[in-house]
Amino acid sequence: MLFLFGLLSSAFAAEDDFEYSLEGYYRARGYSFLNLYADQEGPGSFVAQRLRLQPQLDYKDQSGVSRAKFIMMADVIDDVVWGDNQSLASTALFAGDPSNTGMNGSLSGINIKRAWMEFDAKLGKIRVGRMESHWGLGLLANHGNGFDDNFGENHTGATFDRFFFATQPIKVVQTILKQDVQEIPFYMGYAFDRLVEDPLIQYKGYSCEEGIADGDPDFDPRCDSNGDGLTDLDHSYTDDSRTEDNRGSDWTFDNADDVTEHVFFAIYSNKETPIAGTNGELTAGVYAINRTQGETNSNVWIYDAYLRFLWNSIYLEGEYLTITGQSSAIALPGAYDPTSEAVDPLRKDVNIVGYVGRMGYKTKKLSAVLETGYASGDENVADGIFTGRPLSPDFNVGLIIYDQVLANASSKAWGSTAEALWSQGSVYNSRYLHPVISYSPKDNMEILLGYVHVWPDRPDGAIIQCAEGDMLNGEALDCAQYGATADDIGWEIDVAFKTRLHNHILFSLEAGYAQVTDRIKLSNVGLNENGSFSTLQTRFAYEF
Amino acid sequence: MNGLMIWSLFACGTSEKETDTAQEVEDTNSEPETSMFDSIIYVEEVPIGNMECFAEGYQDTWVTQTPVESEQITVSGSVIDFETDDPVPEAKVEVFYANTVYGAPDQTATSDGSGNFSATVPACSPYSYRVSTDPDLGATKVTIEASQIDGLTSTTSEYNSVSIDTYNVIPALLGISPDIDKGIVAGTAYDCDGEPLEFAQIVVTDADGNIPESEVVRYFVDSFPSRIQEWTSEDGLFVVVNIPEGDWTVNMYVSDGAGGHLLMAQSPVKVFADSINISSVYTSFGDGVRYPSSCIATE
Repeated sequence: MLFLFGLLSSAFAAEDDFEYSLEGYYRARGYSFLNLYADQEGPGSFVAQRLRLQPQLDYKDQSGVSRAKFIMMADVIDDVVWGDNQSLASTALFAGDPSNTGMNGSLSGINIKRAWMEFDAKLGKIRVGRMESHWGLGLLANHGNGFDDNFGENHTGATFDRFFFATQPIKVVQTILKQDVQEIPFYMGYAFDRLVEDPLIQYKGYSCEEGIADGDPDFDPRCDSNGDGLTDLDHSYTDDSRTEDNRGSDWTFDNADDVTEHVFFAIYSNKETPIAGTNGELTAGVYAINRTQGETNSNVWIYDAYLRFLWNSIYLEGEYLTITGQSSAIALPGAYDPTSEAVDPLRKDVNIVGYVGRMGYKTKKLSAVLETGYASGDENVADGIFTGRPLSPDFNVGLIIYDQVLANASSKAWGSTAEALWSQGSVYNSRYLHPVISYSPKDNMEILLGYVHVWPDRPDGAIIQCAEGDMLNGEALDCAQYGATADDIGWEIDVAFKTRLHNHILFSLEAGYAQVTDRIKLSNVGLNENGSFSTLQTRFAYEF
Repeated sequence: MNGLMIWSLFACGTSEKETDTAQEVEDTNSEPETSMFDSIIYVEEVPIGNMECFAEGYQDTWVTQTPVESEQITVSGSVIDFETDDPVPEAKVEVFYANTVYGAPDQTATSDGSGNFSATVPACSPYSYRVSTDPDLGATKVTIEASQIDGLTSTTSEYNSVSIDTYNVIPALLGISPDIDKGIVAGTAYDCDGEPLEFAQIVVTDADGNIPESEVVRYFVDSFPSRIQEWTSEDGLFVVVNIPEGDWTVNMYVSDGAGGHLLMAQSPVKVFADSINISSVYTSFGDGVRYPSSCIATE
């Protein structure tokens, strides 16, 4: 890959109007857990590594202003676990050549995750292609780039196939009116995303049972494909047995099953905003997304507001999001009522909320920030209201409770049947308090101390246990069992030491201890039943 | 519809007797109006299914069948995933020539890549099986079924296996957390024709009628457990979670159409921890053993 881009670089260098650059990083992160799993004998440890390359071709005009870029991002080694884990060697003891086994246990190949172009137009900037997406604190759209969290690691990264346009409307108006152009950092934009062209899960909206004769009260002519008076189709409200082979030649022209979204945003961002006689940093913005899928009657609006304020060491930052609308696309097995008189038993109203707020005191050497966050959960995924959605998995809070315990609990519960409902280490069905103190004895050094306390939002009785006294919307929460006695899910303490050497080498040593209550049935998840967990993690990274 | 009409007529003549039985269970609680029995058995809709055989017996006089003499037959068995009907390869099948799993198996076989195996079983005699896969692979849950009966003319037999994915996702959908030191009981409620019975409710009790405090009962819709289904649907399927290890009885109740409930069937079940214990109930049968017609002795 590097060789390829080296060639490209040489070829275009001859034209003398391209500038080639390469960004990215190599990082190796070691994980060690003393007592995470129930059957764990002694500390368990492993190392995972990633090589990320982001080459860029940049065309600049004669005045040196960048006008058109092509950017690509490839994870050449994508969270690959150290060692020969595919039995490449005939006996493990003599293993020499390591395999490319990912952290999920399957083979990991070269993954070109993003490729997009970016160019200036008369009215603004346009991007086209498969690109990163990030907004605010990254609660919903989080690019997962770099090393931006106090504790933990990024593993995913929001990526969209997108047409993107951004402009500075005030500047445009001033130019049209031939007024003096003042640099006001206010931006507005629009993006169009194509999330799905042809989902393999075929939405039907009705179920069919084979072998029902015309005249039977359960006979549905839609299930009698050959019209012989006997149903021959057999499927649920959706048909997930469809494979790529079932795609007709015109599959790209069927718009009813497409998932698309329109994104609108407006943001003001100025690091030198005059406030009470001095300059401070102010960023404030909102965005709205309308995501739709015709055949499932899905029409969802996402609203997100973001604010960042830093003035005289006073720091405020927060993001609030809400997702509303309706959809029939959430077709969990059994999670609907076919006896319902509703026209569409799969229909769910969506009502999701998430937020994170931070306030504190920040200087170059010392900062103290109190963070609180929330991701709404769903106490009953089988009912008609869908209220649960975790925050982005790349918005990391602590090292253990979210990153390991709830991640294990949710993946174990939903299994491969509904991977979309896994927490993946993110903030999930809970609210938390997270004070963090940071001290930098030198410019290239930082010591962090954090505490996380987590409370459940809507206990579902399976992943998060119910307790007597749990309330929902002012009423006692109705659970099949009340297996928990604690109010909270647990707490943890995390510490980190971070330093940057030779400008490019990042080193981090992170440790955490957590105590988890009976809100999580650890024995069912296969985790250490006494609820005490500790971890030591380290990162070596070369950032370029 | 025919079965429903017959049942409505029939229910009037027996409701008093059957309601007494329900009361016996209620009496084990100090507050009958809020008893656990009431929270489990409350269906008001009359059952849909053929209930004619019920007239032939109740409890002390449950239907009894006289089977022909048992003999060993060889069946082509297949291990099938309970939810997907997909074959389960490399499954260990242990057959016990008794109506419960106890001691060493009488037959052991392993399914091939297509889930098929061959086994010698006693025809016209209830036997049990236990299906499991390599625990290190974590692919399936141990599945146990008693009261399995193959007829004299049987040539094939299907054994159920429950995948870990199904086992895990069911509690999540139902809002239940199974205890690994307790077991799960599952089965089907059948009418007199051996067809799934709709509008039946299930309660698992011990020999004295006591209901384990941890018991949670749920029913299926379209062959998948539903949190909102309050009684058996057309598929007749039920699941009872968190039953302690030991000997229990599966009781099937229906509405008598007059505000009471009738005990229609019972089936004993030996529950093993951290496993699926299948025990179906057949209207008018008190032992969960319903012989196929080829096993019934004719005079």
